[in-house]
Amino acid sequence: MSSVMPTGGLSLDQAPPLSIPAAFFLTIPIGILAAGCILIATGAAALSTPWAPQTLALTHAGTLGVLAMGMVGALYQMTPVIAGTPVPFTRIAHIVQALLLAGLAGFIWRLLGGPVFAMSAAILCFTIALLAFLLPLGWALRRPGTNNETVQGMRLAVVSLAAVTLIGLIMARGYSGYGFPENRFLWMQIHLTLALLGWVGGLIMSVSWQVIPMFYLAPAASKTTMRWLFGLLLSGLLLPFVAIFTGDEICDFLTPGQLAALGALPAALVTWLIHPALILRNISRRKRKRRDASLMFWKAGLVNALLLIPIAIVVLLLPEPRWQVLFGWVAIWGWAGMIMHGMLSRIVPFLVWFHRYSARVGLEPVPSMRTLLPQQRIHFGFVLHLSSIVLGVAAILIQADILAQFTGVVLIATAISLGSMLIHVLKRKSA
Amino acid sequence: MDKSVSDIFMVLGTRTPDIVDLRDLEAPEPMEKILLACAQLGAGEFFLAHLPRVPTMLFPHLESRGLSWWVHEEEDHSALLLIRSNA
Repeated sequence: MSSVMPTGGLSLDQAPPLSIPAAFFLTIPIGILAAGCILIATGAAALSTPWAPQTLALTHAGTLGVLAMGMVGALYQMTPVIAGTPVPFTRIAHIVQALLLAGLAGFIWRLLGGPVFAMSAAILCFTIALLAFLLPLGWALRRPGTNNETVQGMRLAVVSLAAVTLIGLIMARGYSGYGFPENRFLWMQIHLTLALLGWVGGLIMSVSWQVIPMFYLAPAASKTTMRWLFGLLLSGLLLPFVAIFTGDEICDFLTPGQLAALGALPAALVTWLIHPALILRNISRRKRKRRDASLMFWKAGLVNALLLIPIAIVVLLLPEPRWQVLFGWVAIWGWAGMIMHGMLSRIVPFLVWFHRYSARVGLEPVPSMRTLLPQQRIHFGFVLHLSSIVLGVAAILIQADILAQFTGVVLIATAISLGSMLIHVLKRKSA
Repeated sequence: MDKSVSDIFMVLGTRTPDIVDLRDLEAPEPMEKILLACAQLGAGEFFLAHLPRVPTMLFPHLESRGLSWWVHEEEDHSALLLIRSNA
C-alpha cells in the first residue's frame, strides 16, 4: 500500500486479543477491595506511619493490586499499537496476572501476621511474573517501529519497573526470615522515587501525550516540551543513585536517604507540578468542550498531583510520620489511582468498540462507543472515588479508627462500582 | 496546508475532491465517519478527510476492505487522508 508517509505497518494481528488487557483491568477492583478490607480490619493503624506492616500491606494493595494491574494490562495493549511492534508470547500474560495476584496475596498475608513462607512464596511469584512480563515487553520496546516521546516514556517506565521490582524484592526478604538491607531508608527512598516517578509518573506522562489530544481534543504538547520534561524526569531518576555512593562523607547535614529525595527533585517537579499544570491548561483549551465524566478523573487526579509538592514540603518540615502516609495516600489513590480509574472508563469502551464493532461500521448498524457505557455510571464511580480520597485524608490527619474503617467501606463501594462498570462494558457482544 | 491537495496527492491528477474536516471529533468518531463514507464510494471514487492525527488504527480496516489510501501528516500533527475505492 502506497502512502505519502510511512505508517509503521500496524496490523490488527499485532494487537493482543481484548481478553488480555481486559483480564488485568478486571482484577483492579480486587486490589481496591483488598485495600478497603485492610482499612476495615486495621483501622488507623494502617495510616499512622509508613513503616508499619499494615501500612505496607495497604500501600502495596494500591500499587501492585491496582496500579500495576492497570499499567501491565495497558502496556500489553499499547506496545503493539503505539510502538508498532508486537509483544512476543502474549499468551503468557494470563500466567503473569495469576502470579502477580498470588504474590500480592502472599505479601499482604505475611504483612498482616501470616507465616514467613507466605513472603517467600510472594517473592518467588513476583520474580517469575516480572521476568515473564519484562523480557517479552523489553524485547518489543528494544527496537520499536515508531520511536516517539510516548514510546521513550514507556521504555523509561519499564526500566524503572525492573529496578523497582529488584529493590522491592531485596527489601521484602526482610519479612521472609532474612535481614533488611543496610540503610533501609535510603533504599526505600530510591524504591519510592523509581516507583512513583519513573514507573507510574513516566507512564502517566507518556500516555497523556497520546490520550489527551486523542480522546478530549485538547492541544498536544510541543515536541520540545515533551523532550525537556523527559530529560528532567530521567535526571531525577538517576540522581538519587548518587546517594548510594556518597554515604555521609559529602553531606554532614543530610542523610543518604534525604540526599536521594533531593536528587529526585527534578523528576518530582516535572511529574507533580509542570506536567499536571501543562495538561490542565491544555484541557482548558479543548476545541470542543463536550461533557465527559472520564475527564473529571483526569482533572481531579492532576489537581491532586499539584498538592503533592506542598505535602512533600510539610513532610520535610514536620517530623510526624502521618504526613508521609498522607503523601502516599494522595499520590497513589488521589493522583495515579484517579487517573487510572478515569482512563479505564474511557479506554475500555473504546477497546470493546474497536475489537467488536469497528470492522462492521458502514456494512451494518453498530452502536456508537458512547452508548456502551452511560455517563451516569462513570460519574457515580467518580463521586465514590473522590469521597474515599477525602475520607482517607481526614482519617490520616485525625487518626480515628472509625474514619479509617469508613474509608475502607467507601473503597469497597468504589471497587464494586468499578467492577460492575467494567463487566457492563466487557459483556457487550458483537452480535 | 501550504500546498494544494493535488500537489500532495499526485494520484488525484486534476481532480479536487472536497475535504471533509473531522478534526473536531474525538476518537473513535473520525474512524466511524470515514468507514461510513467509504461504504458509499463507487469504484474509482475518492474520499478526502482532514483528521486530528494520523489514524493508525484505521489502516487495517481500510486494507481489509480493499481500499487504497494515502496519508500526509501536517506540521501540527493533523493528517490528510485520501482513500480510493477499487471495487
